[in-house]
Amino acid sequence: MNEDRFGETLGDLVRDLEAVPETPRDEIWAGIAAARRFRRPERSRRTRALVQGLSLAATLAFGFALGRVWTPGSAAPPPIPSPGGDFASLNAHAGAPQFRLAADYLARTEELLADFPEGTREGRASDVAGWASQLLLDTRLLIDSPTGSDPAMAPLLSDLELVLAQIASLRDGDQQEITLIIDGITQNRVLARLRVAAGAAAGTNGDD
Amino acid sequence: MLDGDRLAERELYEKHVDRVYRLAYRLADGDADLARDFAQDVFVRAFERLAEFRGDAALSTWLHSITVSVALNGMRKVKRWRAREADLDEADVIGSAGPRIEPDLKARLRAAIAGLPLKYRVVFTMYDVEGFTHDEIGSALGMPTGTSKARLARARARLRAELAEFAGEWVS
Repeated sequence: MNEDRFGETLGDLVRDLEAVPETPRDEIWAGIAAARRFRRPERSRRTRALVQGLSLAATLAFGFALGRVWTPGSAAPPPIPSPGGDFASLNAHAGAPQFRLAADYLARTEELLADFPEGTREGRASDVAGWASQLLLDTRLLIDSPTGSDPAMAPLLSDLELVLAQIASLRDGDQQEITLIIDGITQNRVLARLRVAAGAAAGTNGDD
Repeated sequence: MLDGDRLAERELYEKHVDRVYRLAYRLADGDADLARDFAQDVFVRAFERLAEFRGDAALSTWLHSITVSVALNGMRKVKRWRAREADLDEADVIGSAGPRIEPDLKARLRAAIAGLPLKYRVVFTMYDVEGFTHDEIGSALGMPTGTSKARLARARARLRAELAEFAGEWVS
């Protein structure tokens, strides 16, 4: 069998064995619209400084509205929950469809937050912001779902909503905002709590 | 369109989304959820950069270039995450020495393709599976047409060797 014929045969085989599902056109379009809603339009350099200031003020206002301010040392950090205690319901139902969704969401969010400092250092703030805006939508959907009523998940989701909203509105070079976000993540032990929850939801008891 | 006309964007989306999604699906190793996320990201980026598109390449080529970039970057992250998950898995799963079951054709083919170096796999997927031309691949990946042809030949040779023992006659 010559090369071209071999390639055609392989291609046929792959297409037969791995048929591509119908394109979820409406779902993708809705996702695009949601992602773009959270992106700020391009602004001139002159107005950017003003907008940064306003953005910081808006973030602080959002923080007050949620009952917390993301500044260092403002309050005792939340305790890190235990997977067998606080996240027992998540761990017990790991594998159930709704908790698989939560596990997937938590895993993706953990990856984003873990990548955030490096990503912003490397000048990928816009990419990270786009990623955060997608996760922000998922966060809000989860908050409105039964998972969002879980006593251990509710405060975590609330913190994640705030930090993702901050990241989603970030632009390259906004160092002051980046520092605030990283301080907030650290002070509120967001990543540590997230890892415990992700482990519980994945059924691994969060022991990483 | 360049002014961000939403109707024109929707028209562009409707025209290209199927091919973008198909390519994303293949590069996402058949994961429909990832393919959806990649396709979404492709159009978000494309719409943001539409003003930068100068028309010196076909719009479809430009979109496919973004698709490859988004999918490969996305898969790197996914693989990093999956590797970490595997580290967390039970040791008996990773290190089990249970009886080897001969994988079926689908699994073997998938493994053979997944085992190709990325630069070969992308060209094989685009040309043999999704029907792109070497010109299109060269433009999308930013390389000469000849390089695309060479990579395809190497990909096929590796697949032929990899599948020879399993598939016998039809690869020889």
